[in-house]
Amino acid sequence: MKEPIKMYRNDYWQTLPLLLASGFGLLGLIVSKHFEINGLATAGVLIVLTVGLYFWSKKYYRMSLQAIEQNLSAKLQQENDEIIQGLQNSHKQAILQAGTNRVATERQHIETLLTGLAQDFDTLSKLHGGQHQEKIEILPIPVETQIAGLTQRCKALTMHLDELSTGTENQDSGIDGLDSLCQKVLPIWASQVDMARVHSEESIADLAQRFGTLTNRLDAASLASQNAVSGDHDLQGGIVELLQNSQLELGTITTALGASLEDKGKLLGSIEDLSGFTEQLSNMASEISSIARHTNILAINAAIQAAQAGNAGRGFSVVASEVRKLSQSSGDYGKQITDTIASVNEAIKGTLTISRKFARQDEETLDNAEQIIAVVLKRFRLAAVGLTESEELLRIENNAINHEISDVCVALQFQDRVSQILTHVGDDLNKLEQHLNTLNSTETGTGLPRSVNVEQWLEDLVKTYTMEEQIAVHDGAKIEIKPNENNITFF
Amino acid sequence: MAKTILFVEDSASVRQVMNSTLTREGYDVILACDGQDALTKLDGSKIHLIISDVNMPNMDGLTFVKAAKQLPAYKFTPIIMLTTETQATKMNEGKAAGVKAWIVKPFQPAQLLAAVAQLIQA
Repeated sequence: MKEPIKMYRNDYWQTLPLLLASGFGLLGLIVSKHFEINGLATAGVLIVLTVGLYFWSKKYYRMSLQAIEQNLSAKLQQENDEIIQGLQNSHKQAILQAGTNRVATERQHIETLLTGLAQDFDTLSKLHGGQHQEKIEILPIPVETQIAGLTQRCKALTMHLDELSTGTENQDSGIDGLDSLCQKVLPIWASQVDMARVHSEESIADLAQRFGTLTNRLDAASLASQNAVSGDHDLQGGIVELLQNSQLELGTITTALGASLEDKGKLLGSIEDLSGFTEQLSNMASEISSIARHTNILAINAAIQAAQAGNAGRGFSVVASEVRKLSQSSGDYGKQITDTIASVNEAIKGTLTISRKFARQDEETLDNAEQIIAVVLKRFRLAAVGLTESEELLRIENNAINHEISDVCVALQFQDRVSQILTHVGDDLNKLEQHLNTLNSTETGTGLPRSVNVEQWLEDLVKTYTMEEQIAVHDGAKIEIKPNENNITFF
Repeated sequence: MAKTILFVEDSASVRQVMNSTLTREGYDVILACDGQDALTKLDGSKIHLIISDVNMPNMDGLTFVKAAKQLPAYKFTPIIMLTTETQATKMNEGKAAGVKAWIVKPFQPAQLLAAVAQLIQA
């Protein structure tokens, strides 16, 4: 017997007899009070009735509930079974349908593969000169028949290939001359690629060197211009300093010329003073002439007195005669001095006239020189300003050109990347050539594989790449060169 | 006194460009065409910085760096790798070997000069 379900095992129903007993107790109390029946007896009867009701109801409810539960369980089980059976049936039908569809798809796929295989076999047979087989019609011949036919043809082709590979005279034509072609053309390709790489490398290096030289020469020209205009770092030797020095030196010259003119003025004053001395000398010469005349008169008087004295005055007469000669000589010298002084005076006057004329000319020359120097210095100043502006322009242009050349230098780095790509291609070509040589030197009877593992080959090729672009292109991506924005990593 | 930089690069064009750029900045530059050539230039003289390519014939850059770090005179010389190589494994290998900076080509000369100045002053 199954256990009753939980909702019926809570035994709440047992409270019902207690309620009934309580009701009966209350009823007994009323009856005993109105019909004068012994209360104890009534209570005893009621207790017996209550206990009886309790056990009866307990058994009856349990049995009833169990019957209901069984009925419900059986019904639910049946319904569940029916539902499950239905679901299983529908599921089996779906699986069966899917399986059918899949089988149909697989069959179609296999038929397609077999068609391709049949065509490949036809091609292979033609390529290797095997006996021509009748082409198998794929539909509606069953797949089993096709497989059997293909197996037979595969065996025939394998035998034919074995015959070809063991033969010596036709060994090169085993892959229709492709391996021979590769052996000959691969080193040529590799050499051509390497030559292109070396040629471009040398050309770009030369170009880079020329750009470097150009940059250095531009710097040198800019520096020379800067030095010519502004001087070196200490601002020495430039045209500005030259202008300042020239102004100072020319100022010194004009000052010297002015001083010279002043000295000439003093000289003229001295010469004029000298003309004053000549007048004094002329007066002194007149006095000498006057003294000579008086001495001559005195000598004549002395000679007269000596003649009157006779022999006693003869000696005195000689002295008087000599004095007279001296006075005449003094008069002559006084006259000569007067004449000479007059000549000197004339010469000094002439010199004064010429000197004054030269002094005026010098003053005019000095004025002109100052004006000319001022004009020249002004022109120099303007030229210096123009040169300074030109030098600034040259410096700006030089910086711009340097920037452009810097960009060109960056662009020239493509050569390194191209060189690496070409190197990888060349290395792979050489590797393929060596592999083909190895394959062709391997005898067919050794059991060693005479094939190329394409997947492994491509995997090895990827390992040689250094740039992301190479990997992307290898994977079939569109060729796209992306500029590196942040290409410096500090550790 | 000018600082000395050893520049190791198999590409003649890049070598030429960087020689010009570094010289203009006032550095003394020693050039080498691969790792093997560069090792012969490490003769004990003072070198303030090494800049090296990674993929080079005869001896690659990372092998050169490891060999250079074995030399007592160049154990603490800062090294910059200048390469087209972008694979993280190679960068990590460089970092483990003692490389201070990894610059991927193409690069602006100003970028390299900034890195050089930073590492030389450090």
